[in-house]
Amino acid sequence: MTSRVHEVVAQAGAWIAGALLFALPFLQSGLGDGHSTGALHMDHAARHGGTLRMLGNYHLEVVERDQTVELYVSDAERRPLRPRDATIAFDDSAAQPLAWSSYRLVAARPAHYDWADYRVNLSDAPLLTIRLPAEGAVSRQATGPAPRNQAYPSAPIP
Amino acid sequence: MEERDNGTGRDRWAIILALFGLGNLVNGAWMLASPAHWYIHLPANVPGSGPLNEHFVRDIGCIFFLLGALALISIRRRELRLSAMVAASAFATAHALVHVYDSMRGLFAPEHWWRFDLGPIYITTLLLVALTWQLAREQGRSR
Repeated sequence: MTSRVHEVVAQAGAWIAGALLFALPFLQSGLGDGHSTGALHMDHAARHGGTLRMLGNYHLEVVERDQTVELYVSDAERRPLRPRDATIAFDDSAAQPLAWSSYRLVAARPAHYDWADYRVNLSDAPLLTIRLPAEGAVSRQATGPAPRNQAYPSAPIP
Repeated sequence: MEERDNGTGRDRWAIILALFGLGNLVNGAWMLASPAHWYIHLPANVPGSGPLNEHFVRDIGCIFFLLGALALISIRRRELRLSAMVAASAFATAHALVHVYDSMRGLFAPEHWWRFDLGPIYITTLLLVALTWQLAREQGRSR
C-alpha cells in the first residue's frame, strides 16, 4: 500500500515537473500586473536607431532610411504591437498606407520632406495620430508647422 | 522518482523528458521558422533586450531544437538521459547568468526579472538542475 502511494505521488511529481518544464518558457509570471507601469515608462531607449515618442501608453519609434520610413509601435512595456492599419502623409500630400513588414511598418519616403503625419489604428486603443518633423528638417521645425497630436497630449521623453 | 519503471510500465523520467523535449522542440522550431513572430509573441518580452536579429534568433533556435531532440531521443536511449539533462541544465544555467548580468547592468527594465524572467528563466533553471541532480543520484545508486 505504501509503495503504491509512493508510486502515485512520484508519477504525479513527474507530470508536474514535466508540465512546468514544458510550459514555463512560454509563460509570463504576471507578478506585478495591475501595479503602476510608471517604472516601465522609464524605458525610452530607441532600439532601432530612430527617434522615440510616447503617445499615452504607447511608444512609436520612427527610423528614417535612405528611401523608406520605418515605424515601430510598442506598448507601455515596449512589447511590439501590430496595428490594424496605419498611414503616413508627407507634408501636404495624400496619406499612403504603412505596410506591415516583419515586425514594423514601412513606407517609401520622398527625398525631401519637412514633416509627416502618422496615423496608427490599433484594435483596442484610441487612434494614434502624431505629426513629426523629418530628421533633416528639425531646424526648420521652429518656423514650420507645429507638432500635432490629436489622440493624446504630447508626452516629452525625458 | 526511480528511473526504472519497476515493471509497472510507467517510466517517470520518460514523462519528464518527453514534455521537456517537446517544449524545447516547439520553441526551437518556432525560432527557426519565424524569428520575427517569435520575437513579438513570446511572452518573455524579448524586445526588452533589444532589436530583432533574425540570424541570431535562428542560431539560438538551433540550441533549443537540439536540446529538445536529445531529450526525446534519450527516452528510448536511457544511457543518454543524464547527458541530455546535464546539457540542458548547463545551457539553462549559463542563460540565467546572462540574464542576471544584463539585469544588473540595466539592459532590462527594473521589473523585467520578476515580470518576465522569474518563471521562464530562473524557476526553469532551478527545476532542471534539481532534476538533473536527482537523476544523477538514481543512476549512481543503480550502478
